[in-house]
Amino acid sequence: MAFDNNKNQGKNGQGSAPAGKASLDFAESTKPPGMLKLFWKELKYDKLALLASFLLVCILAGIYIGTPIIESRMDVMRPDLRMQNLSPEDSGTLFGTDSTGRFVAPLLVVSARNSLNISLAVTALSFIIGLVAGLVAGYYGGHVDNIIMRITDTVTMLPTLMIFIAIRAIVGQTTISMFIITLTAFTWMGRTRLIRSVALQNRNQDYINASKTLGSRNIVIMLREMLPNMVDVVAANFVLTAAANIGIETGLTLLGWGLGMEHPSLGTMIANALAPVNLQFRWWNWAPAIVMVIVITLCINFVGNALQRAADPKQRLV
Amino acid sequence: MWKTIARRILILIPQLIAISILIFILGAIMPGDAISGLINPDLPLYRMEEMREQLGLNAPLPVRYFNWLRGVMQGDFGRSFQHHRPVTEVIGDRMGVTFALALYTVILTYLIAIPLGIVAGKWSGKIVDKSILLYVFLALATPTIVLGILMIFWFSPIGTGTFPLGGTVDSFIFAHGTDFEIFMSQLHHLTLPAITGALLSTVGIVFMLRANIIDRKGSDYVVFAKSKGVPSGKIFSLHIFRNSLVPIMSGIGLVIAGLFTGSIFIERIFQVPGIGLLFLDSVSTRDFTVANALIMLFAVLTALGILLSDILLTIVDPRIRIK
Repeated sequence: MAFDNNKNQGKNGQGSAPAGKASLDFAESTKPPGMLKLFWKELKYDKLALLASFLLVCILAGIYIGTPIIESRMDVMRPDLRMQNLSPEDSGTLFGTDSTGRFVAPLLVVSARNSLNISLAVTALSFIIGLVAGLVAGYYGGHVDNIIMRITDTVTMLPTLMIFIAIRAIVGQTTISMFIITLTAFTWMGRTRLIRSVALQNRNQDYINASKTLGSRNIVIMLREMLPNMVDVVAANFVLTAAANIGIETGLTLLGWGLGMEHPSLGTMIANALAPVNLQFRWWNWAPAIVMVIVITLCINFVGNALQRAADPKQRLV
Repeated sequence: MWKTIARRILILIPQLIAISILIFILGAIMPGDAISGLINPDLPLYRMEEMREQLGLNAPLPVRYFNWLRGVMQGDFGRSFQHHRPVTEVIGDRMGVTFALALYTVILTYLIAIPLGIVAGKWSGKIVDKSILLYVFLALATPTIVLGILMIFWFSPIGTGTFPLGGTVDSFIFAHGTDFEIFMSQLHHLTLPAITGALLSTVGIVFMLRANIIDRKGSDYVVFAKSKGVPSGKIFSLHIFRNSLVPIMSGIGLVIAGLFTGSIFIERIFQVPGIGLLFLDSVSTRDFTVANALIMLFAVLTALGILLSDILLTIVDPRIRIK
């Protein structure tokens, strides 16, 4: 996954900078403690974040290991009209069946996987755009910075939700990949601004000037010198953005302009609650998906916050 | 100060022009045009072409853009083919509810957020602070529309029946009640949507107020006041709280801007007949003249909200003025 790559890069990037074999006791060496180590320290101090990361690992493992197993055994999307609207007690399964006779529990696992994948894809794409635009704007500064930031500001001011819905209405039914691309087109602005601000902090630092004096090409300085130094901040923000994007998918689907009912996702499962009869009498149709969205987002937010504190010395609790 | 504000407004103008061009292009892509609202089976095709020619709809795109902009400036957005009325009238009818809801939500937001922020900041690290932080994270994790569903499940006639669902006023009271009763009924109808919106938009304010208070608690001037022997209650109310509140109050423009976007979700789930719901309906019925006008309206409202925040911040914080 993209996130793991980021973390590894962070370790390598920081590890390669100082000379000599890194000793574990960083109090004695000049090497700054690694991101993972700081993160672990934060977790040890903040028990809630520790619990959240444990829960998150369990949920992620359950989802990503469970989905292939479930999909190899049954077709979760297959309706069974003899099994409609069975409550958990009637059907003898965990969450019963929904109004088309599909079992809710396996559907929930597959839906959670799809929603997470969509959110991760949107986040990764918007970070790629943000990294390119933000690095260029922050590194070059001046007119380049002005032009890129004015464009970003203007797009930020657009009512992106409404334009997204209007475009969906014009284009009509779309595939998941189109959905991801359209969503990315409206979520890159915040990333650009973040990465530009970090790049601006770095652009006049000694190590950049040194690299410039040595005659490194601009692109090399940006990618090899600047990028590894912002990995901490980017990783923390990546996690928080991924959490927010789960909510965006859910919200859009519930408005009727996200994914269609043929795609299992947390949004389409919660959309069951829009039918009053389901909302009033069949809690098992929609409540598990709501709990899933909130628990996943909550856990990711806790972990992201701990990462953010680890990345920023001013915010650290320990 | 005036210089900074003037410059801020000057920056807004090219941005608004860029936005209007983008929205015009979006409108040009959308099916249907200004005369779609007049089409009926008795209208011959050649007559339609004549009308198009008369209204300048066959002109090249830049010319049409300036014609459109002139219309927009005068409040003319064309006709809605769904409602058979000018778009401006259709939107005008629905705008009041959205504004009332936004005002109600803003008031509730600050009523909830400021006490929570103060308590969390004053007793930071204590159990109160931790539970407030948990609430903030929960609110952050819950999509607006999902909280809406839960609120309906608990408090609407489906659940406890504390609040009514849908509409803006009780029809019996509207017909027979006094003005005050009608107002109370409207308030009652808007309470559930407003609380839902407020619970979620408090997040940023609580977080910021708490951080500000914690920040101020360790600042030099507070330490100095303490060493002078100023009573701690006075230090908190005069030195810490007041200074922490300044950035919060100036952020009101951003809160309002966020509420208008959120109104789409809130009005959809609670069936409040405001402009957010009007937008969703008009997109569903392919009434794109209304949809496009609403996008323009929301863009301008958002821009004005951000402008308001920037201006307020310039007034209260002298450091921003020096540039």
